[in-house]
Amino acid sequence: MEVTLNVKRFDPEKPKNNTWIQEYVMDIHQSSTVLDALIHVREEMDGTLALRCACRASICGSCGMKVNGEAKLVCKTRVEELSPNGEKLLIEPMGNQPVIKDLIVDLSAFFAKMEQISPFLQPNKEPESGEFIASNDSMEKLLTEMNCIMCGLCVSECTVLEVDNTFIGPAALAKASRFVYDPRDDKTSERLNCLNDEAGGMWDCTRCMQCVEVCPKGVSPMDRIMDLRETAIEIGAKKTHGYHHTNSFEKSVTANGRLDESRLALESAGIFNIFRLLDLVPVGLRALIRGKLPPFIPHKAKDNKKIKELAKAIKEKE
Amino acid sequence: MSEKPVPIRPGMHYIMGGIKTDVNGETGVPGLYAAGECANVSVHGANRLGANSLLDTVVFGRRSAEKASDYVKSVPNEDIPTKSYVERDLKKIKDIIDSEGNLRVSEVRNEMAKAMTEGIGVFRDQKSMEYAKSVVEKTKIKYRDSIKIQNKGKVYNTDLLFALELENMIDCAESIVHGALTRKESRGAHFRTDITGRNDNDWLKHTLIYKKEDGEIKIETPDVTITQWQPVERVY
Ligand SMILES: Cc1cc2nc3c(=O)[nH]c(=O)nc-3n(C[C@H](O)[C@H](O)[C@H](O)COP(=O)(O)OP(=O)(O)OC[C@H]3O[C@@H](n4cnc5c(N)ncnc54)[C@H](O)[C@@H]3O)c2cc1C
Ligand code: SF4
Ligand code: SF4
Ligand code: FES
Repeated sequence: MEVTLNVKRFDPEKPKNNTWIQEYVMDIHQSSTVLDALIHVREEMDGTLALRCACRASICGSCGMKVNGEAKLVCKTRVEELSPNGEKLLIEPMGNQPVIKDLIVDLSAFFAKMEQISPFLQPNKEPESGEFIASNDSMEKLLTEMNCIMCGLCVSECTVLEVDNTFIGPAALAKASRFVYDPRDDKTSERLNCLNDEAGGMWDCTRCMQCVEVCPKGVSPMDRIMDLRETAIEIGAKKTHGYHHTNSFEKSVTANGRLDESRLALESAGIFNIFRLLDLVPVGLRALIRGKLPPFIPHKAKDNKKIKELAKAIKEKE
Repeated sequence: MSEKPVPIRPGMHYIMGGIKTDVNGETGVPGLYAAGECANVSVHGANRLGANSLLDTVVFGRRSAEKASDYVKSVPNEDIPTKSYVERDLKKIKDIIDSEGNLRVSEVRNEMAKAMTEGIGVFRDQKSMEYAKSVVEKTKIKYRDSIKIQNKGKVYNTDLLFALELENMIDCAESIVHGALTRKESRGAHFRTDITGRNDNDWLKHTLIYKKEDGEIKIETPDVTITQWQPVERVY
């Protein structure tokens, strides 16, 4: 079958016009993946095209790219599925990471963040006999986290990383949960306190779901982040806006049946955190000018009583 | 998808054999250590068992690393003539980039790969192995005289990388062909349709392939030393 690839090229060695879209038209086998088509280009049409790949079987994690705007492993993506009637395919490098050449991005930040979470077991004691034994059950619980192939697709699509590259990001946080929940590791509290960090830590995730959508291995990084947050609260790692935000949210909904936004903003910042509070002033003023400032005395939901009962029921269940 | 035929063919899973080492990763060349799939500690025999490869990398990776670090501490910190080595390699790269042939590296490589799969893949016999050998010989000449590199750049130049890789692949293919042709029996993954049985009387032997400075191949077949474990057939 015929396929047309529009590939976004980048050549840092060209003095000008170093970014362009190049069109390649070729005949490929019906069952070909997008990677097969790209390899065909590289081997038979254009030796200057740079791309990463190795296993061609979605286990090595090296062929992450954007196909028609969405990050994918191109060896796991069949041409026919995306282009049943010969539609052109747009191939671009992954997002949120600097491009080195053509479809190859610089993964050093990705791996630096992986290293930041100390991705190895840290037991406090020596094993009783020879080796540490973990039960089958405890390992099975970690299967999703352990499935990560470090492809970087989640990082490519993360909406927080798009605006703030200090965020440690979905992949490293999912990897952290793999160690936090391993029964052989004894650094749970140190790990969580570190991930709790104000700048770039686990509370920066906005729960946009992008990482869950694109992960080719079902790791569901966002869910792993939510697990970590819950455990951080449980062990009393409270020194973050994230913790206060969650707490204030709960208090306000339980008390009034709806969100008290003024209180949420103040309590998340911390009532005694003068600098953070000053940060809020311009936002408050703009909201005031546009008539969007939430009321200081919060509205209460009509069926507030019911909500209180619900909250009580949930507490009891916990 | 489920209603259409799925194309299936054998894939490469593991290379048995490799750079000969002892149990400490020492290769015979002072200061050069090998471990993992590229090495041959002779723990796998002629057909590696499942899961033993990662075990091999962990155990002998550690042992060779320890030995290598001891070695480094034991030798004097001589001035290595870095400059001349760098110049040699830069010249080699320049020569490849400037080569004026008419064949893409991928074309030359795929031709050899196809012959290796056909001649020395899952099943082989004298004729098919000799065919593979003849193609490897031709590939050597094509690589030397007729390749071209389209990409002249310095950043992530995979065109050049694949040329350098092909040179090493030819060496590996050559050793595989010579080793296979030497062994007049079937054993493990070396399955000859013209000589099907295992012959412990004559062939409890290693095959060692050397390449001399002038390119000539030297083959040795030292005896296997058997201690605790008797060689047995892999039956799964
Ligand atoms: C699909 C598959 C499944 C497998 N499953 C299992 C299993 O379940 N259990 C098991 O025990 N084994 C398994 N194996 C085998 C095992 O995975 C490998 O033998 C093992 O990973 C090899 O590790 P290594 O570090 O020795 O080599 P590799 O992991 O191959 O590393 C070699 C490295 O050298 C680099 N390199 C190559 N040439 C150069 C050069 N010129 N300069 C610089 N760097 C270079 C490569 O890029 C690569 O990173 C499997 C193999 C395959 C293919
Ligand atoms: S859910 Fe969180 S981690 Fe995942 S992509 Fe969105 S912001 Fe990033
Ligand atoms: S979590 Fe999923 S998307 Fe992210 S690096 Fe791991 S495998 Fe890739
Ligand atoms: S090439 Fe390995 S995951 Fe795609």
